[in-house]
Amino acid sequence: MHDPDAELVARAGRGDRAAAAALMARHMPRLLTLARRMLWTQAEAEDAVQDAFLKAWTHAARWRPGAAKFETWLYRVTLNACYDRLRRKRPAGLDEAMAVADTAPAPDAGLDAGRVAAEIEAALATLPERQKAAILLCHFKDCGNIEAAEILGLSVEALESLLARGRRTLRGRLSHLRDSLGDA
Amino acid sequence: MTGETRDDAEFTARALDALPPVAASPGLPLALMAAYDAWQARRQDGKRVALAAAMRRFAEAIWPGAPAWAPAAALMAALVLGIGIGLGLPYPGSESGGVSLDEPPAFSLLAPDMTESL
Repeated sequence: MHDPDAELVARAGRGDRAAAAALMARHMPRLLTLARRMLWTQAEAEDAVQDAFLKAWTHAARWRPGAAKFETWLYRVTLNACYDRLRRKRPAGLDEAMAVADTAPAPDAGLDAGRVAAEIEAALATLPERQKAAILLCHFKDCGNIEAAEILGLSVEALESLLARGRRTLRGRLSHLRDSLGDA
Repeated sequence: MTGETRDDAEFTARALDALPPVAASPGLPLALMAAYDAWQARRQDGKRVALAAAMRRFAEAIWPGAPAWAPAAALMAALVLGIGIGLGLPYPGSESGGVSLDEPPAFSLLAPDMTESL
């Protein structure tokens, strides 16, 4: 299995700061997007990404290529950091954000982009964490089902089931935005 | 994938694309690299600590219970003694009394006054 990160990880493990910076530049933006969509706030998402990279630095010196790709491992660590935060108490203010979707009068009328985004985030927040992770991973990492299943530690069939249920739920909860999102 | 499932997937993709892009705060890359630097510093300290621990274990193995200077001093004394003896010994074949097994001994264990009587 070819791991495009293997050389950078080995160099970072030997103390090469430039290699560590290259690894960070390669993976941080997508990891942050994934974490931000999984979690409530930007600050929590950045904390989760920081936790993941701390583990990455600690493991870089001992990393042995072959078992799994570094990127797969890094996404798994990031998702675990997100799960940990999701299982803690929800921050105050979330319920207000979620209530936006419930109380919106005339759902399709005059929704601006910010409000649509808020409603999508609120609908995402109601999904079970595994469904949400499967949907976000496939969308934002732009990976196939096999890779996503490996990151989530699932069979491909289980992943497809999660995706189907999650997408169905999301579409149902956002049905009032069909026109805004251009649904047929 | 059924038609309905495909529609769900397309709707979800459009919904997620409608979300604004996520940008890292300026402090995040700095924090990540600071974490890397801190890990490197801890690692260097760890190597020094491991070396000191290995030396302590070695000292404990050769002289259990003694303070660290005792086995170190004993080793140093043994080294000095060994080098001193090595330097003090004459070279083989030199005038100052080398010993060769190929020649008869140039000395006798008997007292000088007894050699004649034998």
